[in-house]
Amino acid sequence: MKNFDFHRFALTFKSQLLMGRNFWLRLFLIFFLVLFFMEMLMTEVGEVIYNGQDIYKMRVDNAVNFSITFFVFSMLFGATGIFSVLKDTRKRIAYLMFPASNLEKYINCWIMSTVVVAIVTFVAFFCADTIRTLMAPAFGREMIWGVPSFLSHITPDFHATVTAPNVEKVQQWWLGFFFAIGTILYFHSLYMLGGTAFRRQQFLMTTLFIVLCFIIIVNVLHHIDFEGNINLLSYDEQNGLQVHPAMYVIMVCLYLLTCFNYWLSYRIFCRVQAINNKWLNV
Amino acid sequence: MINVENISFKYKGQKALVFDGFSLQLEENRIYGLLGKNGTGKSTLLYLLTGLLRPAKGVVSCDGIATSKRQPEILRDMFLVTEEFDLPPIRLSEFADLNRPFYPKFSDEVLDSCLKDFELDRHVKLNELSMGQRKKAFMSFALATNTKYLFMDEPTNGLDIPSKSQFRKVIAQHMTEDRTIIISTHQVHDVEQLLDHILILDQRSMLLNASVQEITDKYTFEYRAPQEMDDTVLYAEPTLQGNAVIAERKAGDAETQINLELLFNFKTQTK
Repeated sequence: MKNFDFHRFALTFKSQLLMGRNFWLRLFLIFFLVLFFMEMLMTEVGEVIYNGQDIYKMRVDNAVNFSITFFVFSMLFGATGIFSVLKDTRKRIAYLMFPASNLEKYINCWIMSTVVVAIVTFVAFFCADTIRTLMAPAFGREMIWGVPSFLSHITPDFHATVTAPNVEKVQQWWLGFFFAIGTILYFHSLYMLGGTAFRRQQFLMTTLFIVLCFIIIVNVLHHIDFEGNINLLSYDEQNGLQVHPAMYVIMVCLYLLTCFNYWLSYRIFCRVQAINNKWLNV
Repeated sequence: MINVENISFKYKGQKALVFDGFSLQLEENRIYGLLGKNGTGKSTLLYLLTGLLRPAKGVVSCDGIATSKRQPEILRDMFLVTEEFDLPPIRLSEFADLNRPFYPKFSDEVLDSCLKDFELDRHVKLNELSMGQRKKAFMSFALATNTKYLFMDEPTNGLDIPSKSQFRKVIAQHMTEDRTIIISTHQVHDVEQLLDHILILDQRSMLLNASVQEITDKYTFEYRAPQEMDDTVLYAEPTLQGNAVIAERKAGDAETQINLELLFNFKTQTK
């Protein structure tokens, strides 16, 4: 018995993707329409000269920023929608009876809700922004394509490590990079865990749960005497960036917690039954 | 063989147990009829057998492996046709192409033969079919998978009159020696001639677990006039043709065709 067979997994992914293509097409259309109308609203409506200055480029940047925010939310929505295949009893039975292992089915859902959602959102933005750019001359505007700006915002600038003036700057960059990736993955895993555990209103329930936990943690920390301030990161001209050892512990904990969240989400999926609790997948 | 060993099960939030210390063995080369009143746990038993529900106590195993583990080696040998099911909005041919690799014994000949009997073709769009047609398409696919265990929950619900006889025909045609079919239904007349083993469920327990041969060896099913009613009669119901009767079968009595509805009423009312 193999818990993971790559060939079977590839077939599972292919069949689930093709059988659900109408859903992905619908999602693409919705995302495209939202992004296109928001881009048009943010760039083409109203005057582009403000105090004698052309602010059209700034408007395009704002539209790109909106699209990035939309992208982040779509990823979180996607993470909580990981088990849309388990939404009702009929879908649930069809997916649970599918002859693939639990791990293959889980990874299939993970990829669908993460990679496929990211691709659909990006393609929707690409199409919306390209059409907006091509239509710009019709409104008497300059053609400014927002895609390069979008890509530069969502991809790390590895070139910065080469051009950094000193080792401290390189360290600082990598520290920031790992912390950012760790934070993104942590929140993704948290929303994915919420998407697996809750059966209804997964995004809302998970967000409320995170906010509640955050309030409790802040309250607890507020009552703890740390015997002086801990500066996790400090910088001075003489010594450069100073990283408190606690910062490394926090980063390791962040990655460990992320792994734990994904593992717990998988364990919940393994225990999902055809008929479960109304609100929780237990 | 599917082995149910001393299982207990109840739904979360409910006090009453659906099964308590329940055991059962399902053997190969048989068509089981699973009967029971509403709420006795027929669908629950099918879900437990297929690993879609986990018993609180005991174990359900298929060829020695617990079904609740949902291992692909077990899942590719099982197919469940539920009363209501989900099909993607694609053509049946594409659905078969995408799912065929997961069922090693999948047979295109069986699929074509079933579809022909049901007067459907491979290129129908699954989302454009009526409920009955969808059921026929799905049952054709289920039979074509050639899985060792085929579970059907109310398979004749939603089928028109000719389709019910077509259903019996395709099941009988594609029953093989290494296969076990379990049909849960209330529509006993639709499957009466198909079954070779009867299971009647009652609250938490099994009222009857016997082969059709054992039943017909033991009982006769016949119509009797009021003056023919004697002490061999175990159960009787008045009908337009006289009294429908279950009587003890004596040596020399001819074997009679089983009357499932009568047998069911007999077992449930005289328990």
